[in-house]
Amino acid sequence: MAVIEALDVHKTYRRFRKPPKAALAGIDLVVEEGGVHGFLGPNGSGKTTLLRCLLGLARADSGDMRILNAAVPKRLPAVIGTVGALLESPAFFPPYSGRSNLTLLATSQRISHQRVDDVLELVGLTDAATDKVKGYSLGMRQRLAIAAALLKAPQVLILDEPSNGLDPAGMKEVRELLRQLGNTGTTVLVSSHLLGEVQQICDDVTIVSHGRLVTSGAVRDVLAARSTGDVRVEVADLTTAQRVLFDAGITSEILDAGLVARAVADPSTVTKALAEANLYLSALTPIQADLEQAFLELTSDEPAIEGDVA
Amino acid sequence: MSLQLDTTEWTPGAVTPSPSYPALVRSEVVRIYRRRLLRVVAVLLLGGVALVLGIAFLQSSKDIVIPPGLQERLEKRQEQALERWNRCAEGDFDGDPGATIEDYCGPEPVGADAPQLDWFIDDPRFLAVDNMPSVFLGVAGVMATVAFIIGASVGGAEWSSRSMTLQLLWEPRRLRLLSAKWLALIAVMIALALVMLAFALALAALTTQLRGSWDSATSDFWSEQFWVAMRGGLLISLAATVGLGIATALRNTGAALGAGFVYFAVAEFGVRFILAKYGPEPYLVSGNSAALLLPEGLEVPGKTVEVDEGGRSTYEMAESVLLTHGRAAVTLSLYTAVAAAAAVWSFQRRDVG
Repeated sequence: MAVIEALDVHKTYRRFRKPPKAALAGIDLVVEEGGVHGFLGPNGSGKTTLLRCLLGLARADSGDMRILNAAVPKRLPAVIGTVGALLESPAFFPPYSGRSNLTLLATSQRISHQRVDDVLELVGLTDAATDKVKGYSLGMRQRLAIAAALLKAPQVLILDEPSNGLDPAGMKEVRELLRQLGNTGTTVLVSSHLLGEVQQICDDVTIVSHGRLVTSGAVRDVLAARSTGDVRVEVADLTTAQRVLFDAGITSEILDAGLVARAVADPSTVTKALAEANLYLSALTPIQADLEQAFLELTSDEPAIEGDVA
Repeated sequence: MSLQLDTTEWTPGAVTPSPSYPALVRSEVVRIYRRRLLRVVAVLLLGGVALVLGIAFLQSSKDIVIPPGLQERLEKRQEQALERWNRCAEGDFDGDPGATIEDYCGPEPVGADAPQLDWFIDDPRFLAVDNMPSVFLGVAGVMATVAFIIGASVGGAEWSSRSMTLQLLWEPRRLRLLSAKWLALIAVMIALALVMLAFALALAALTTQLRGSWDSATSDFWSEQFWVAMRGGLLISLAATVGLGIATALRNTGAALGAGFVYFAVAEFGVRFILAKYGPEPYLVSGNSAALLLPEGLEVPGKTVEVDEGGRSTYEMAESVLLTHGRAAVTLSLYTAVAAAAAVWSFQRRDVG
């Protein structure tokens, strides 16, 4: 079941004495229930704009948007209690403590104060709970924002760059937390520039560029679709092996990393050709496309949207 | 930091937010109440009230000191007044057969109509009937100004801190959120005004008791003060609404305060000067605010009209317009409605984030 659906969403910003800027040009996003869904795109590709439209913060010009099958923005109030969100930089009242900021939110929705302490503990802010937010580091504010998003124990968690401002250890912990949330049945939609992070924790991914969907699907499927079929061949005599492969109709290159056979449809053909020439492999490793490579290839040749000045 | 989720306890949707309008208003009241500006202003106001009434206390006395020789001078004045009246009464009034002596000479200066001792000495007592109205008017006037400032601060701070974005992620119904903020602001401002009034009245009552008199403070007098307080509450509510409205529409506290300053310091003077002929005074905020508070309303100059003196000459004169409580309330409410409508319109339509 799709938990988040955005179909053919358009959004154009009209600007004073400047041409209008199309932020979304018929973008699609479908997030299935449970797991972690990555949302990728270059700067200005419309990720945050779409998230803002989904959360009722910005008004889409057209398109169909749904969260938990409730039409957005009209029926958003009916489901907002089950949606936690963190958008860009966290926004809290600087003169209030971290606990006060969360307590105010909890009070407005009659959520117990014990729950506030629980989420503060979860993000490791118990010791700083009574300190004023204006004294928090960016990383601490980010943790507080994650705590705010988790306060409702949401069924759907929408996070825009949740690792912003966190140190490497903090980023790792956030990754683990999101993965755990995804495993418990929470649907996590995470927008990030950190492609390695997304590849590590996401089950599915949507890649957008210039306000349009580029590709979407399970991470392994997206990577497989970009796979070149290259394999790394580990053998004692690289030069002889390259000649044998050439004779067998397989193109290869000797690189620093060793011998790489190009566009091999069936790796057993490599094994067979080398074995027949009495060359025995110590390893044969398919070279996987990583998400960064796939992302760069997918987003590099996208034409700009008409009216897009970014 | 642990960030370790206890997966045995974590169930998506286990916490059920239960949004209710009173809870939303209550959280907004707490949000405003915790503002440092509000606390600083409250302390300054309490200090100011204590200072003013402390000075009044020190300058008041129950003992009326009659300077030496004043009694003799008073008796001489009374004699002189009676002599003047007698001379006047002996005059010729034939030209006006219906006229009485009092029409020409005034009442005979005897008894209560004779010159009195209190005409010649300053009464040092703190008289409730003279000073209590100033307490009511002063608290209402100052609190209306404070309400505008706090309203602008509350509205602008939400945008400058971007906490409005966070709040909308919890309550996406914008009109509901804005109205909760408005109600909370009015509640806090009225509560603060009541505290100020109670504090000022307590000090004034103490001063009256120890250094003055409650003479003439009848039930009618207190009834009049009660209605001044009620109208003051209305003015405070309107001022807070305008402050919140402008700050919400402009998304900035400074811009809202600047707009208020420019209006009172520049625009009203400019309008009075440039449009004097058209009598703008009945439509200006300051005059209507004063009219709303003052017990009898306020007379202000209206349009300039030409007065014909029996065909011999003409001259121009401004009509006098009485701003009644009702008229002032309607005028100010209309202006407030415009500011509120601008705030609602912009808040409903604009993208946030």
